[in-house]
Amino acid sequence: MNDLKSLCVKGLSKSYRSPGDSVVRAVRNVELTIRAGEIVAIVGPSGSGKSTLLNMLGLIITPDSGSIEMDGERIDGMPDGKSCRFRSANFGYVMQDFALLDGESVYCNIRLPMLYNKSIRPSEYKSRVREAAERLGIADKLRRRPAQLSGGERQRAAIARAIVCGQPMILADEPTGSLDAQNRDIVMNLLLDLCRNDGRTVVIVTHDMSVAERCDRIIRMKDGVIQRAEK
Amino acid sequence: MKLIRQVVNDLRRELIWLAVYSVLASMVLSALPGILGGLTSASVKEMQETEEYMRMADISMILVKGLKLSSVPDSARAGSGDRPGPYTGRSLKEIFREGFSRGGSLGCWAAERDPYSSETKYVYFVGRYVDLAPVDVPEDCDYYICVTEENAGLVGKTVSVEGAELLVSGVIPNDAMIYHPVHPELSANHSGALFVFIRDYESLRRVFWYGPTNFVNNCLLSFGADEEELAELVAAIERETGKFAFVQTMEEYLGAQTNRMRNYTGMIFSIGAAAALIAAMAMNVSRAIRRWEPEYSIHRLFGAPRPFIFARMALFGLGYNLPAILYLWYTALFPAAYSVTYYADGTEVTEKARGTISLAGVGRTALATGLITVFVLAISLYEFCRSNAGSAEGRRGE
Repeated sequence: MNDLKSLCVKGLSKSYRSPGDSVVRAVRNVELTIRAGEIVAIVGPSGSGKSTLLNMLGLIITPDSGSIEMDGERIDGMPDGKSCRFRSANFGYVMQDFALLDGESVYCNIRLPMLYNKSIRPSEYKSRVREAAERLGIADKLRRRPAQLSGGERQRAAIARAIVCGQPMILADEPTGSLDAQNRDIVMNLLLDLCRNDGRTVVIVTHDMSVAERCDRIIRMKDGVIQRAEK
Repeated sequence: MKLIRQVVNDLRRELIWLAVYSVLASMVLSALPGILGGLTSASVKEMQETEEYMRMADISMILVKGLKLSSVPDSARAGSGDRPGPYTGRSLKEIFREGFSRGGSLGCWAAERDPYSSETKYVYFVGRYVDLAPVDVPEDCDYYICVTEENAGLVGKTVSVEGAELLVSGVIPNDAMIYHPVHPELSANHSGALFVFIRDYESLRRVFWYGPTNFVNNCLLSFGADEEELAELVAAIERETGKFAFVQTMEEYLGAQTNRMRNYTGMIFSIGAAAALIAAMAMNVSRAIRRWEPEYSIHRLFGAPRPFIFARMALFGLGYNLPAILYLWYTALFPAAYSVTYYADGTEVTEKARGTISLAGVGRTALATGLITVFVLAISLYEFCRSNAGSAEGRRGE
């Protein structure tokens, strides 16, 4: 795995133009620090700006103002090519709807980030995929299609994909939102394990307080603003 | 390599749609030149024909057609009030004898199928129309028979024309222009035809011993005739054949044809049909690209740069159209084979010939390939910009 990473966000804002042409200020002047090896939950009602904040942290969308620093180095505003390489090497994404390629096997899905990571040789693909799959307990499912897996197995495949390049930071948007209680616990245990044992930094956006309470910190958002951060 | 592999994979997973689309696109691409060609001309297809068409319009001649009363256009009936009344001038035979003589003012052009073979055609140039022939016909010969290049072996031998044995004297080159506005279909297909040039009425009568009246009064051409001569001809036709003699200057005739070609409704239909077909192709390519949009987003999430995604969309779009493009190139480089049947010394001979590659056809195919490429790139760019805008705006406010 790559070195431990911390994130520091200063004055981050993002606005959207709604269909009625009014401006929606999704995130307003957010100041936030996420320490290396920490697991943080961002909670709040729908429309509070949690996913927008997560997408900005993961360089998926560009903020209107403010800055994002990783280990003191500014990472927002990079050109597209550089930003893509950076994302592939440093961020692993886990989505509520799993975001798996339905037409591909589980193996191909887990391998995906390595295709865009030039530091990993194609000869390493197989061993890395197998290693990640074994860690997540889906090594025997590599030849299957996502549709042939249960919800929990699909989310484990998505987590395997999020760690296969050795990404030090996992950004998870409602990772347990589509799962039953049993699978929710399994996925949450896996994320905690990746944080505690590997030292990965994990940011989880969730509505589920039982998930949030297992994290190191809870950040509450409302109307695009951080209301409070609590242990 | 990674890009090509992904594009091939995308195409492989669209195989059924790809097959359906390829058939439709091949049909559309084959039909489009015809539809678009129809905007400018329905039957005058080649530049050479257009030149001939203009030449016809420049010649001062009047077309006299004997029409059955039931098929007379209303406009012609309306104008018939001004026509001369019953005329007691010369008979049709006398007019023909003088008109079809050397230095006369009448001409005729006709094409007939051989009654014994549907393949071979007779093409007659009679009277003054001989002067418009694509070969130099000697002034002093009563009959001048020519064959096309395929039957060049018949030169110096006799052939039977309406029962008369006539000597074949020359060859009409394959690229000779025999376009006639009344029979445009022959300009494209006269291989194997026998060309018969007859300068005077007596010679014509020797061949058509049963009477050439029906033959010549279907389509008479009067060169530089004055009004009185024309009135005499019209009266004689109407009196002796019972048909309506429809008179048109060549300019009027060709003008009417041109107007028909440029008929507004037809034009709207052609434009509409072409636009609908192109729009259908665009929508299909667009649909195919959109189908993979969620997959492109996932690749983008895990590090695929924008140019890579655009290249993947564009190559997929081009790959989607590749079978249709290959079909176009196949038809351009391997023109269809056809068979030619003709009589050589009374023996039926059938030959299979491969069509020749036309440089114009290859050029058109290259142009079509270029246009399809631009078309696909434009759709890909549109879809790429649309999906980028969508992802930038997506998950708003969550």
